[in-house]
Amino acid sequence: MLLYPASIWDLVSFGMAAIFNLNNPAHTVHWHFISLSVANVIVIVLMFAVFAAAILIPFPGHRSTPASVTPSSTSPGGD
Amino acid sequence: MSTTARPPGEPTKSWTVRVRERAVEALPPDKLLPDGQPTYVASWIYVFGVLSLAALAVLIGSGVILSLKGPAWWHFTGIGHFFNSIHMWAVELFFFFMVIHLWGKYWMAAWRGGRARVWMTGAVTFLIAIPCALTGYVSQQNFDAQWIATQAKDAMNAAGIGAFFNLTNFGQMYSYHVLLLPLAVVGLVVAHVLLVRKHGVVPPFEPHQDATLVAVAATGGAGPDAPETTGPPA
Amino acid sequence: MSYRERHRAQDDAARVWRGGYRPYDLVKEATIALGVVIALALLFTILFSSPDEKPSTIKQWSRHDPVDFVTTAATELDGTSGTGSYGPPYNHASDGQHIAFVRLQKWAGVSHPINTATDFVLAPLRAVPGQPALQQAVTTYEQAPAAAQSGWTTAFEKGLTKAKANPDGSITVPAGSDGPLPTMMTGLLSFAQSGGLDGALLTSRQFFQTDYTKSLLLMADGGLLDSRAQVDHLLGEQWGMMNETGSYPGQVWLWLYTFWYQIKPFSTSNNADILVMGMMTLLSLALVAIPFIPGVRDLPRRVPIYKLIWREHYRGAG
Repeated sequence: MLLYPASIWDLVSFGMAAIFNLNNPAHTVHWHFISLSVANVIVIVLMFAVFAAAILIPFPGHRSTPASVTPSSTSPGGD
Repeated sequence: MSTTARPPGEPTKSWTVRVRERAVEALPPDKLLPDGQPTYVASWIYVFGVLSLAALAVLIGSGVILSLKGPAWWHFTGIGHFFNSIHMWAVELFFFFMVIHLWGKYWMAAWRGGRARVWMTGAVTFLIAIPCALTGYVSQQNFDAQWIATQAKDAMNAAGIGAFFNLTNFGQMYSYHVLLLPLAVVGLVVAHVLLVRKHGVVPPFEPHQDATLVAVAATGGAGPDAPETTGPPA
Repeated sequence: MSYRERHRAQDDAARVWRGGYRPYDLVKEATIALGVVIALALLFTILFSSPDEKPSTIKQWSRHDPVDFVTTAATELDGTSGTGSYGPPYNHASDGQHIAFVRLQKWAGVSHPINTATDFVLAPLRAVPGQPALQQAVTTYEQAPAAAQSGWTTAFEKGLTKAKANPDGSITVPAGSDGPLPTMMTGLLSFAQSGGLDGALLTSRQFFQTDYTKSLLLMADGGLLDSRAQVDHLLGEQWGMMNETGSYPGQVWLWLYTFWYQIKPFSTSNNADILVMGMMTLLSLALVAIPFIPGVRDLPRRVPIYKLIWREHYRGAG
């Protein structure tokens, strides 16, 4: 047990203990022959949700018509 | 600094000059680091490429710190466990963002217009990242590593790969994980990004123009260098 | 107009964008992305940390379940264990898996030879000092004809089915025609419970070692790793390939690899691993080759997801 911090890193790591303890056996979701852990289901659902959000949520600004600015290069770039 | 003082494009025996001229021709500085993007790049789906890159950077950064202290460090100190956690969550974020990026690029058919190599380097990056993660999992030196090594070895052995890629050999797996496979991933990602810079972000589908294009092509008319409309179709 | 010509024309039209541009700060965007990812990684680290279940050792295994340990050791001695009957790359006991005439496992050869009787039982016993009765038992076994050895191990394994673990860590096996086996296995159990077998299997070739193959294969031949894995939902039939220990997210990207193992014919095949690897190799090549696969490469044009992605562009152009 840490009685006193021997160094700054002990302080840091003491404060960094996980807030939620995930070290118990996972709950699983069963559907027919499919068996997935709850954590993995959350990740999969989040992936679909984030993908949907990315294509649905409007991108801010830049609603002006094209050809308003020419780039410094002569060929396309971006992303 | 160039000592040749010759007109560019003139034949030269210098490998250095040839490499330099090809590189600059393919990727001049303002194409390598452009300050403009096509107006159709206006969706949040476009940020998942750079988010994947950022996750890779965090992976490599946290991995460097873990390798500074050796593979056993993180089991015995809080700060080591902290960086191991950063590394683990960066893996989850890397695959999360990369797969969404893949989905977006598929539905945009981003291989069009001579960009097949962009798609292929991206797909191979994904495929190489998987054994890179696997070698990491078996290098953890805990129960998870023991289990994954003893299970996955069957798939490797069945395919003959196990004869030279031994998942239960910690030293070999650690070497692959820390050096060989990250080099491969980074090399592929660099190629992927440079190809995107070279070819540009794929333009949108133009379904209402397809019929015109087909008709023009059928008559052996204007090729890709002909002037194209940039505004609304006629 | 053929499909090929139409596809060619559409592809050529996508080569160069001659429309408008707007200002864009690439370096700033990359910096923001890095900040976002660092923030997310920090957040998850602070909230959840990461798992670190301690590894099993042969010492723990032999103390926790001595009957299982000795049973496994007996099968290593007669070569009927998982490793003993595996085939390449460990031995020639079988040809391994195959798809039709393609026998990659066999063709790759025995690159990491393991003789389970010698490596897991006889050589470690020879390393135990100061026990003449034990050494004599090993000599008796080694010098006996194969038929006698087989008879002893068979009788001992039969007795093991009724064996009991004692409070002091030893086991009691009903007597049978098992020759020197009880003495040998008592010695091996004691050696394992002291931690000596973990060390002996690791450093059998030289002092410096990083290859845990022998220790891991011996443990995997027994039941300890399996029983821990079952608790953590890591077994194959539990879709364990995707899972992490505890309640952490695992390797979601392996969903298709593990999927095949759950359905016929893979789930009931002795060649499941090579079949799944072959299937995934084909699908991976197909993923890379999508730009060249008619139908698959045309699907995005038919599904209106692109209309959502480029709606600003179409609004401006329309």
